Amino acid sequence: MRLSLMLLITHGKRQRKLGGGKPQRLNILRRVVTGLVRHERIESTYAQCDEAQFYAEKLIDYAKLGNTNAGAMRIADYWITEKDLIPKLFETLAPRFTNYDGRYCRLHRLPVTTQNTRDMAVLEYKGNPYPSLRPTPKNHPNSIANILVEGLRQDYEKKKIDLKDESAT
Amino acid sequence: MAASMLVRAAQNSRQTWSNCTRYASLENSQWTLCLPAVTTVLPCRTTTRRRDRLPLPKRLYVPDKTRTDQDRQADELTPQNMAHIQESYKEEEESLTQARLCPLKDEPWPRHAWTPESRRTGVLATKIGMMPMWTKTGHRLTITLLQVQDCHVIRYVPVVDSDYPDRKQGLLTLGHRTCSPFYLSEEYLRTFEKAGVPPKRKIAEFKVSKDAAIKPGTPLHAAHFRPGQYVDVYGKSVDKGFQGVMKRHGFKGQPASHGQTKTHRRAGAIGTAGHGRVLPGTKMPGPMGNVVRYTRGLKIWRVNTKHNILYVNGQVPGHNDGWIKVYDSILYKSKHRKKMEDHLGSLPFPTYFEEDEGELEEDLYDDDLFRFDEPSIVFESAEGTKK
Amino acid sequence: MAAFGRVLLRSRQNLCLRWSSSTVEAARPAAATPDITESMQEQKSRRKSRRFISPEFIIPRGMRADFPTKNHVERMDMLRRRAVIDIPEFYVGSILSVLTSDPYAPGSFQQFVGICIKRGGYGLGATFTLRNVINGQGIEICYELYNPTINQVQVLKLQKSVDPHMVYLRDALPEYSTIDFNLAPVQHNPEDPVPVLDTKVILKPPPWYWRWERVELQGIDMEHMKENHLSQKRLDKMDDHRKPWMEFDLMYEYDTTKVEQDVLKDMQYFENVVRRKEETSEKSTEEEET
Repeated sequence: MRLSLMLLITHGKRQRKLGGGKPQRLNILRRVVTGLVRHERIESTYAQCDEAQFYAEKLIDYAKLGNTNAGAMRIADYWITEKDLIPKLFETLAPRFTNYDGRYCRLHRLPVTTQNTRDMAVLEYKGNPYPSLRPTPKNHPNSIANILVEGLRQDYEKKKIDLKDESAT
Repeated sequence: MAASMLVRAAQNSRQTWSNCTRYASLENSQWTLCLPAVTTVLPCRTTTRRRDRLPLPKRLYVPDKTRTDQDRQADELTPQNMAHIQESYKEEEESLTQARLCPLKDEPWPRHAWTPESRRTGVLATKIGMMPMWTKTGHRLTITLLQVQDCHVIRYVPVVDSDYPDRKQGLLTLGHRTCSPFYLSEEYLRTFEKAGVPPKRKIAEFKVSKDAAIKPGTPLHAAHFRPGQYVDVYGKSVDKGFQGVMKRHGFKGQPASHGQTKTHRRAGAIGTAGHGRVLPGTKMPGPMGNVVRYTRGLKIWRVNTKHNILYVNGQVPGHNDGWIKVYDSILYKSKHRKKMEDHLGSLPFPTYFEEDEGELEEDLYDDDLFRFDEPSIVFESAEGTKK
Repeated sequence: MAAFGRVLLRSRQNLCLRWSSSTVEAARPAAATPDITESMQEQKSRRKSRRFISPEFIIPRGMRADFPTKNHVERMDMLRRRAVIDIPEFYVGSILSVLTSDPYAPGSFQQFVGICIKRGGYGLGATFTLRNVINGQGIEICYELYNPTINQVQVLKLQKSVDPHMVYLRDALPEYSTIDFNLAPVQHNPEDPVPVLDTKVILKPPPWYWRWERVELQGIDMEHMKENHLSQKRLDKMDDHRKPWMEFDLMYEYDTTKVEQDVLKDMQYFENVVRRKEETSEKSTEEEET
């Protein structure tokens, strides 16, 4: 299935032209990714954040190979323009994501206000020290819906146990 | 955490991002769920001339705008309850789709024999790709693969109530590709309850004669069709968006040079002085594609009964993963009546039932198709040039 | 939510970097340089441990090709064909001999020997192009790997080109594309790494099929080309087309680990299930006949 109408119309092309051309696009994204590595949560235009997210996650994949790996170091050296952050990438960020298999970033879209009509977004690495931007979902175990479904679940499990007992005997 | 100020990147003075700590949470600022930017859906005005654009389908999921955040939170299930519902639904779905005949417990409908006036149902399929195949004489074919995924009969409208009582044809509604009921409207789900099947992504109607009616809930398979027969195919063509007159209608445009001022792909004249107006239906730029089209007389070369795939000759309208209606070709009617009886008479009527015919081989091939487990083709005599 | 940038880009074959399971330990960026840094021992052990998967089994990225059922079914057909005829391991730069049967020349096979200049397509429609110069005329024939009229594909000399394609042979001196039809096959030990064809080819004067000075191909003798064939204007514009950032554009990388795992699974399934079924059905038909 086509993932969106846009992708169907563009016939699957997925890169945005940022800054007017290939080298400029990567330069912009390099700066965004460097900022993200430094601060772990940054605000930028939605287009830049969306494109940078892919590279930020791939960078972590490479960083997981370790700083002794020549290829990984080369990629990190290109993508991180401020060289004091390269040790941070390998020693702080990569170990944080050892148990993750991808999706190391979160992208939040910011509200469009009259002061700021441009589509802005916040890109952050998971596990960053700031308080979370989204409200934590609260459980309401005593709401009617939950009580009813809880009852359903208990009946279902009881039935299963009864069936097991019957088959055993 | 102190809110840090905007930092200038070393290499370029233009600032591309800012450190973001000033939003304590997005809850405080009023924001709405941002859906990805969607361009306007192509206009589907019902003009008097273009009748091939179908009206927009009704939205299956209609969010209730009167509900507040508090309502939503109150109704939010705990993760354990949510997991239980999804698991128990999966079991229910499996039990509904296991029955090869029909999940409904009442008597099966009577089966009739094929007559030349009968018209059996078609099938809904998904276009999953294309690949080349070869005939036994070495001729290369282009084949489209159509997969019949979870095709069930939803309801049968008898001849008397249908739109075609004069032709003595009823309507058989088929659904295809099971989808999750959790994001669908109640109204849409009700259409499937009677048949006892899980909800489907796409519904379509097929005209059938009275003796070809099938009980709602019956699954349909690719083995409904057999290799060697011809089918017609109906689907929505690839969306090209708003296109100019050269691509859309094949106009020739104007020369690239020799003094042409800003005119290279334009229509040119759109009328004459005689009638003094632009006639309705004049070809102009506009939306192209995303329109239902028929492709007729496609031969079925092979049927895979395990994965329910039809290997159909040639091209089929639409992109990969698009829905396609497949049914017996009407071209039989106009010519070669005898061929029709030979072909259609031998096909499963009203559809393929495993109980009647038994389990088929995994792959059914047409006689002329080269099977890959055969040795390479060697031409030994001059007669091998027949295509 | 975000439709852009999340999924890997449709790759351009010339510049696609393959990041497959066996190279995870040494993540190599760079335009396809051969394994210079690895020792012979390491290369040998890598070849032993890793089962060769022909490139047409690796589907390209993108929505268009992402249908597991279709890929499975197509692979089964490809494996069936491979069980009947031996389609050997070969690369761009290898010298092959192909025997085909022609409906217009019944009773005999047509042989063509040439150097493989490109491989294209995926699945059953995969192709390879052989080039040879016969009586001073350059000839290229594009064969489909799975065409049933091909009776034999034999690798006379297994070697790998440094570039993804060798289309520049069209503009090179004919000696580089001339291959003797009676070339004796050169034996290659399966455990040894594939030899790399590192001749730098001298081009004829332009006009050319392509502006070779703008494309970064290792197989062309750039010094000779710059000295002899290029005007100052072309030399000045040459560097504008260099793309040093492509090496670092991670979107062009294609991690084929998952695809290779699927292919290996299908191969095992074919050997264990499908072939056995077909053998037993053949036996039962033979018994019926006797």
